[in-house]
Amino acid sequence: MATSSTWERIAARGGISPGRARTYGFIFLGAGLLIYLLFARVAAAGQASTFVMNFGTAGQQVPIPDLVLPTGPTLYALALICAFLGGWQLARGFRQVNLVLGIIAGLFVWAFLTWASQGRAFNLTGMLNSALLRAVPIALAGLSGVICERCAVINIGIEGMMLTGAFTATLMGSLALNIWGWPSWASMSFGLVSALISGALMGLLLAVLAIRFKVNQIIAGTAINILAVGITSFLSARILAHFQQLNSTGTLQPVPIPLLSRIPIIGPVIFEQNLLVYLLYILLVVTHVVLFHTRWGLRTRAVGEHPRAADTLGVNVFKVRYVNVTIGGMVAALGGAFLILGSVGRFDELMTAGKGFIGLAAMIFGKWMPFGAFGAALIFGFADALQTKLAILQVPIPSQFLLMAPYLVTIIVLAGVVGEAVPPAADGKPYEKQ
Amino acid sequence: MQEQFRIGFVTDGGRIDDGSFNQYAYEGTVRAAQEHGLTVELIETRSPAEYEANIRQVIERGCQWVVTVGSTTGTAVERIAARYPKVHFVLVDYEPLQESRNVTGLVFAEDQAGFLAGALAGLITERNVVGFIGGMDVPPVRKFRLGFEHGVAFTNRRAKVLAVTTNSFTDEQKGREAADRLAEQGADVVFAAAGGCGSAAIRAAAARGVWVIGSDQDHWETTFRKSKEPGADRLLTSAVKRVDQAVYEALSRAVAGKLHGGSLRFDLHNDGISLAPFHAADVAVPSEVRGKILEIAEGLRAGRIRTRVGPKGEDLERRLLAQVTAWNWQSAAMIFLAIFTALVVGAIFIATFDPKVWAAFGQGIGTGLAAAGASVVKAYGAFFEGAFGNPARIFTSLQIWLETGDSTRLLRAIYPITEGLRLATPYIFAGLAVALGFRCGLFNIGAEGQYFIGGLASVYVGYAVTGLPWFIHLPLALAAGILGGALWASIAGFLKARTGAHEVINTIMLNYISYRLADYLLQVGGPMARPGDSRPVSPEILPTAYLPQFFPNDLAIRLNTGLLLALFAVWFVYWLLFKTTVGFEIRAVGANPRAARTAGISVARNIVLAMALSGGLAGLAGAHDILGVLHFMPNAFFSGYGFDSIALALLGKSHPVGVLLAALLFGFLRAGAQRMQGVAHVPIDIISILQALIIIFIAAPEIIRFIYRIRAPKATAEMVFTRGWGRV
Repeated sequence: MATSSTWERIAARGGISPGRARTYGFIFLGAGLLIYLLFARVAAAGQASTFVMNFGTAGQQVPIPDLVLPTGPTLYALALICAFLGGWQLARGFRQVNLVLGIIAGLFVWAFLTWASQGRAFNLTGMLNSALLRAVPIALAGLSGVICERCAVINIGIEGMMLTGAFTATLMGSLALNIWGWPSWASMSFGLVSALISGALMGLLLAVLAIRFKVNQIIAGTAINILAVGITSFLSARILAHFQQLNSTGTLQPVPIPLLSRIPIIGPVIFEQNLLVYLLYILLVVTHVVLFHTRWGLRTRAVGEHPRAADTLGVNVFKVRYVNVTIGGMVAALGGAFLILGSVGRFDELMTAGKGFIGLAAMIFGKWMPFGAFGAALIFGFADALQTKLAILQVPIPSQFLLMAPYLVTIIVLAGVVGEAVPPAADGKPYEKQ
Repeated sequence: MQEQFRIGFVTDGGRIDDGSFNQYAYEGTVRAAQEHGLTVELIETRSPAEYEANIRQVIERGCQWVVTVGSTTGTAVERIAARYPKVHFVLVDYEPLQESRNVTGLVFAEDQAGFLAGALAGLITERNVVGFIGGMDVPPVRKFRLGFEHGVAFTNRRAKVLAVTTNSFTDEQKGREAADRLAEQGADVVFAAAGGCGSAAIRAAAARGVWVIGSDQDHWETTFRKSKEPGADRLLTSAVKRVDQAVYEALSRAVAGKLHGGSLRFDLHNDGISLAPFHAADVAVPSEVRGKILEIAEGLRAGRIRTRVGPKGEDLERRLLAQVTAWNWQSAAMIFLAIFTALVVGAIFIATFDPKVWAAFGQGIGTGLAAAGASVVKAYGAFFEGAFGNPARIFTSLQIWLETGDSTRLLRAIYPITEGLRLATPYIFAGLAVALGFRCGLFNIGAEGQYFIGGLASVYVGYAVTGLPWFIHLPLALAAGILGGALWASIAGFLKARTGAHEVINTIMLNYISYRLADYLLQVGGPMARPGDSRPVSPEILPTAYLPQFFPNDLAIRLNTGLLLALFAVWFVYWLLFKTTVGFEIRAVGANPRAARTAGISVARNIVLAMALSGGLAGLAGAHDILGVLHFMPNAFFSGYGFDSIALALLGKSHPVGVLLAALLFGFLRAGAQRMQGVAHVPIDIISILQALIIIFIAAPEIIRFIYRIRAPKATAEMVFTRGWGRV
């Protein structure tokens, strides 16, 4: 074991406190030990885990062979790698210690999947595809948070805005499809546009409460959540329960992008999705470019960091906030619409089930950056997708605990990361003109 | 080269020998000048319009430091200070509004001086009536007044403080009138903090034989000119702000280059304030009183005794009565209008989404409107009957009971009321939970999850622990509920305190986890499932763990003694928050965590503690529903307590009594809504709409004021609820 002065050197290398450096080392070691105890030790000898790498429309992509790994040896190898990384951290210390932590987490998940799929075939590509689909609403929620908080308005009401968007998309989409007899694409577009309008209205409500009336933003957001739950559940009981044809929009089909979707593994995952997923990609790029490479983005960030200074320089703080929060509401509603049009095609009360809040966690995890939020959303989506796949594999873990995974991940992520994540300086503070 | 430093001194309109702040500030300036070999440039200001010109003039004469009496010149100085970055301004008795490196305000702990004066007054008064005369409602005077009031209460619980504001620091006539009025109302000790107006007041009071206490400087020297004025023997003491000492200290620091703007606080600890000698009243003050005052001064100095007055004159220990009166008619009217407006909007919803109304509009506008009206009347009729019962039925059944002694029908008739109270009980617990969190600056949205965990814990003790008498089993089951909720909530508290992870997201995540946990435990064949049952429910709890019913004869009435427990909880939270050091610390962290930390209060510990207490209360809500109503745990998701309790805490302004009233309102609302759903087929979700609207209208009272054209009241203190992300 290293002496105390070596601890300081190890910690300094990773840029963290000595206590934390040691904890990281023990976490790495612990991961190795857990892989050994939980998985490697109980894996039956001679079994193999098969990871299927093909997914989607057969023949459209270049088929690649399945990855077949001997279960036991693979697990022992993974355990050893983790233990080695832990030992290295304790003895020498890593420079990129957080990156190593991420690698350890990845190895642990790999070990878990290897163990879970022993003697069976596990469709890895299908799993990633499902993870992406589940990440989309969370990413949109996170993006909505980024747009609002970059100009210093906390939006706790994303959950409610998603719920409203989902309801509106269902009602209007079904109305056009089943009552007016519009073609499918037209009624879905109509539902989508209606959802965006409803989101804009909810965003505007938050903006008016937070900016015009200077209501505490967290309370205003909570009021919006309660209002959305009330209105959608009320109308759902009043309308959708009686007129089933108003609660069926149909869903968007995947549209493979020529060429790109033929790339092995990532092709079918990323480029064989429905149009709303592509819309998310576009929104991510656009938001990033607008935020960091345009005048409007500069103004938004200035308003988020130091509204008084921005005001002095002639930026209309209120206008920036109104516009951004309204757009944020639309993006959140798009997330809700995705749950309907891109996923299940019908509305259920409280169907968002905390995705708005998880999106906020993704935003924080992603350090208030559009692609950061998307990356975090992918982790949540992965955790979410994992539990359904594992249920199919009949893993001997109660499904309820698997269902807890996304929420537990959120808590762990917030606890582990927020200390280093810095929100916009003026976040949550109302602005008063002098 | 030896540079000759100069100090500029500009008076605030008074003369340099005014026997008050100008004189003492000047004396301090001169003392500092002599000690450090500086020269003083003095300008006496004649009218407020001259401040700026005079200050410029001393600066042009080469003064590096400018001393002014800030209570009147402060804003003028702050306006021009930025233009003279090399000059340092020292403002007596003024807290700078903005941070700037060349403006230093000298502030005094008037609350401590007032507290000592009040403690003395409380010990001296014979009629248990003491008076306070304040000049204007500005922070220094407010601190004097509150310190005085709390000091009186500290030594004499029975004494009453009569407080008068003259709205003037100069009008002597008003001072005399105020003194006369207090003397007529029986005050035998009067404390005045009102400048020249106050001097006149204590002269007048002394002339009537009342004990008087002066403020700011020793009035023996000034008002009574060392007993040359009549009534000097009635001057008990003065609550002195050592302005000379403060100016001397500040200038000495300036010379040493240790003055960097902000404010310097002068209190008992650094001899910035004190009680003046008793002078002629010396013989009238018994030695045990002196001892007591010295002891209190020592306690204040060491921090063992707190004046419970905030830095801007906020009352940190309002009595219940004071709070209820502060909860004035205007805000009561606003709450009423908020509820009323929400009901109106709700009516629009009900009418708009009633298929019958649509059909009627098809036959014509008139028929449609009539149907809309009928729809609303039917819904709200059912609503009020569900909430408060049918008055006619209650009346007739009451007659039957009085005549025959048969209570069956009466109990049936009052059933809705008991149901409202029954539904209000968990609301009281849950509302208190959120209110307590708010007081610590925490937003606990997780009452929902804590309710589930509390329910699970108490149901487990209720059925699994056997062979105990009820007086052990019931408290044990309740304690399990409290503990379950407390532990669950303190996870979020711990994470907040330790890592800064925001409790809003964490408590919501914990809610979802608690749903899954309950689902796992209660699923058919699960660890806590009822054996042999095809529903996901827990076993029945033993009767020894039941909360006793109020009306055991009529089991349809589900009102139980949990209500008494809830009322006790209201008292307990009130007592804890406002009467104990624990509560004081929780509120201090809620009001300003940074200041609390400076004052040596552990922010982290209080956050965890407040969260645990909050969760314990929410857990009690769950325990009540299990032990008092259901007697088993069903696997039902989304009780709605999480959101409801937020509305409750907001409505009740985070005060336990306010929460109680709000909870009663919501209990009756829900009882009514249940009947509205049954009779008029209005979905019960209308309640959420009403609640959201009530929250919006209460949080943004401007909307209500706009609708009803109510003029805004003067600025009121704002309540701290919760903050943004990141560390506290």
